[in-house]
Amino acid sequence: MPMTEDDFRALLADRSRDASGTPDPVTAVHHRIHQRQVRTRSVLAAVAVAAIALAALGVPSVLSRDRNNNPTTETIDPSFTRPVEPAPTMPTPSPSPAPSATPLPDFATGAPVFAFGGKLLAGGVLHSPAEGDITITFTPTDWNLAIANWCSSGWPSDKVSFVVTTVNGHNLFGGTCGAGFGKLGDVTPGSEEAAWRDLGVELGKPSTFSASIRQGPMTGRLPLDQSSSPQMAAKRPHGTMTVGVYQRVIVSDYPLPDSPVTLETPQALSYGSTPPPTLVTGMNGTYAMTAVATSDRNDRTLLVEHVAPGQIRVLVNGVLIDLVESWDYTDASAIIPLDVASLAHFGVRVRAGQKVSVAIQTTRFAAQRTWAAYQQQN
Amino acid sequence: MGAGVADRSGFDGFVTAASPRLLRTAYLLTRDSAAAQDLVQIALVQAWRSWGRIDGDPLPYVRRIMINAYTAAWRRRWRDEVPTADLRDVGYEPHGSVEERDLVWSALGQLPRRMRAVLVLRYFEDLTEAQTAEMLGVSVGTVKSQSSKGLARLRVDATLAPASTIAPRES
Repeated sequence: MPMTEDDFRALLADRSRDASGTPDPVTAVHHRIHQRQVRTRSVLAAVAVAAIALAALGVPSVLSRDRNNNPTTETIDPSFTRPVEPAPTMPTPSPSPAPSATPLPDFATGAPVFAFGGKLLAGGVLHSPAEGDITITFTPTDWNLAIANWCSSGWPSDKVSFVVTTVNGHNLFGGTCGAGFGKLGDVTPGSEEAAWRDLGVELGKPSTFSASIRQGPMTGRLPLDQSSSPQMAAKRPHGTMTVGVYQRVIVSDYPLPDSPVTLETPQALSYGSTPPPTLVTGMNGTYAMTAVATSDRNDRTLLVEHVAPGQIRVLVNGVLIDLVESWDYTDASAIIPLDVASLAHFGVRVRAGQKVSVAIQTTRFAAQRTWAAYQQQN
Repeated sequence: MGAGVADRSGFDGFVTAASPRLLRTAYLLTRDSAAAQDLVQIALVQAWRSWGRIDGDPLPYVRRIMINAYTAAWRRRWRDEVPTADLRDVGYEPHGSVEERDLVWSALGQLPRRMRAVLVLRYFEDLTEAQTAEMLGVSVGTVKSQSSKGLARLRVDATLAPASTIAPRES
């Protein structure tokens, strides 16, 4: 017979019980705060920490190309203190179709070749040790870069894993293992270049990206893979930290995954009978709404949801404040603050409570109603 | 407004006291211990930045940041979100069996993230429909709809619960 509500409550309580073991949370959060402060000082005042999209291809590679489209060799630094499996070098790219970017993470085979609309410049995998370091060398030819690191869930269960990353020895990002990291800048012209230059990166010259994983004490027991079904556990190779540096490619060079037979509908369009009053959707074009500027960054944010590849530009009072891009058919969303401080960063001067005009400009979508945007209500 | 002048007394104590519960909620959302830690850290760091401006109990505020961060999948995609072609049929075996619990747990991980958040907030955090709606920035009707659909997809039958446990939580 079906499970009852009480059974379900018990299940949630049971499955989450081991996750409550707290690995010195105060130290952990201050460690992260410190890392953010260091990075904020060294990079940009307004850093848009973007996503890590794990579109693994199952074909690890270390590959880059110069401005003339010639492949250049990237190396994995042999000085890391733990065994690191460098992703094998891909053969010279052929004119054959690029592989499909299927959003199925595979932590055993290294960084995905394509992610974030970019192509892997350099990547590597650190296997299983409780602590270790990995360094990869990349040579960018464009400022439109993104860095990613992620961990599988099989790291030692009795401790917390901290990841600290640097570029050319400059602090970049720190946090618990599992943190993703994307682009450094925002939509402000030149912000990407300024951010990377602050980290000592120059076009056409090798730079290094390093990630270190360290352990802290933990009082409880964390991983629950063993308590999941065997099928679920079998899907997850254990004990890897993967890193990758990506450089943007032109859209036509990016291998979008095949469209599913049935496209998802944005949840914003399937919610009951009372859609948000500011809701807009469509296909490609410019869609207008009126929103309200807030005083708190977390209040009444603008939610932009998409379920298919495409690009969404968000303008407030005519000023571009964010660019949301999707490269697969995952139902995902971006939360964009509409508070006065965030808007002021882009030169939009408004008061809290003041109405602002929001324009949603969409391109590259292949079907109607595969995106939606609205200001969340409180 | 500067980070250096805000009054952050009580922050460390809150972190110590609230982290276990937040971690449990985060784990139910992400189904991955590392991702859960990361999600909690995101929320706590954001809360730290505005700590001096939080009135009253900070837990709902921090929980809300965490839920928002979780649903902002474009910005940060949790790696254990492994799409599958279809949900396995949970079937009608004796309720509470290990296998059934595993299947429901597995199916929970395949729900859309906001639907999953609704179920976690309603059935783990025991929030009311109104509180859940406020947390997610949606209507109460949406919460009802998502909760109903979510339970149906998990094959959880609310009508089988004892009367005391299915009494309306909304007055």
